[in-house]
Amino acid sequence: MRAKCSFPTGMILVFLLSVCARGAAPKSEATITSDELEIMDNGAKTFFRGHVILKQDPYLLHADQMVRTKATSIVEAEGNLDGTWISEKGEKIKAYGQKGRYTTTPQVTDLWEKAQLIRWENVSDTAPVHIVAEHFTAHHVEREFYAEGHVVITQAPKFLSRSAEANYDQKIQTIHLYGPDRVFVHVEDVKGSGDFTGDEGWATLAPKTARMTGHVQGHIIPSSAS
Amino acid sequence: MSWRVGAACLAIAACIGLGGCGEKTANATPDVASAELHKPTQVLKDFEMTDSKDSVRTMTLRSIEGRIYEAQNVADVDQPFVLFYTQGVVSSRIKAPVGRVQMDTHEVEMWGGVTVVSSDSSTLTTERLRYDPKKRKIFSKDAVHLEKTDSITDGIGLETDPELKSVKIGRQKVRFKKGTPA
Repeated sequence: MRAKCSFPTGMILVFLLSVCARGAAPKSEATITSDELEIMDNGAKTFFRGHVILKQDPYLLHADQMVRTKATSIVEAEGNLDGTWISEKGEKIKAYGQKGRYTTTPQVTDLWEKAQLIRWENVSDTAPVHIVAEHFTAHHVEREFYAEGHVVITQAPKFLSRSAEANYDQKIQTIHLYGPDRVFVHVEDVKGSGDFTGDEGWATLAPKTARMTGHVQGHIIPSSAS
Repeated sequence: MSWRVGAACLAIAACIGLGGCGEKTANATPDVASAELHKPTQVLKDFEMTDSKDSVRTMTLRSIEGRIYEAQNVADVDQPFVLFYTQGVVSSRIKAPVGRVQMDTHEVEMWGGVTVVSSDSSTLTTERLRYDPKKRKIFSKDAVHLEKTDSITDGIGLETDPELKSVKIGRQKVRFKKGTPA
């Protein structure tokens, strides 16, 4: 984890929420192309307008506009945000949204408006994890990611969850589903399928475990019965 | 805004129609008339112009030679060197192989490989640019290359103040130098 992300790296992080926390350091020079660049007050504000493309291998980001404020080091992006990160091992993350913001103090990235993340484990992954939420926030130093508002996580056809909020703590590799509404989880495998509701849910990635608490109700259908 | 033309000129080397106005006759061929038109009215060595606003110097243009064409209201200048001033202090400079000054609008056009260097060492290069003193802006429609401490920008088309503090560049590509802090 880098103590401080540079401007271009920070911009990329706006859209690839999990990348910085994974410690994926950029390998090449960063470039930004756009239809127009405007530098105001000796760089106090820098605007990139029209077909903005930010590139720094292995990151790539498209947006309609980006603005960087020098005094605050805040970078804001707007319009058709489309970010991609591909690791050497073939893991790929795509992030979409209409608005994004990156701040250095504290090191936080936000992504919202039609925001979604998609993750493929490798190039042959045909069942990517898809996360939709109203707002994503990444706290880079803490390595924690928050999804707020109608959070839907899917990995078709075997997993679906709905919750008001979700949190991923990368340090302990745990996903926490919670919020004022009941958490809903649907799982499906060769043995059958199950629908569960509860007040909260947890899933650990290593080892793979799942837990729900608070008035848990479940409906399990064995595959032989279907 | 006032301009003083040729304040420091050392010599007037040539005058209108060195061949003599009397030679112009009704029988002169179009080629001769055209050649007359393209002769400078005056040739000024160590040409210098100063632009000032409210009695404060804002720009000085120096050239090893300026050729004034009164009919077109322009002066062609060789190796123009322009200094811009902010509150009396040099804030930017421009060098070019060739230039032309519009005597009525006071615009300066320079070409042949123009370099603008600001006081913070930002450097802009382009094939051709135009300075509009009324707007106090530099314009170019050509490819531009801008080097700043933290980045290198290439693009096409430019609008900037002489100090390169407020800059617009079209179809640009910025390369950020490594280690540039946010």
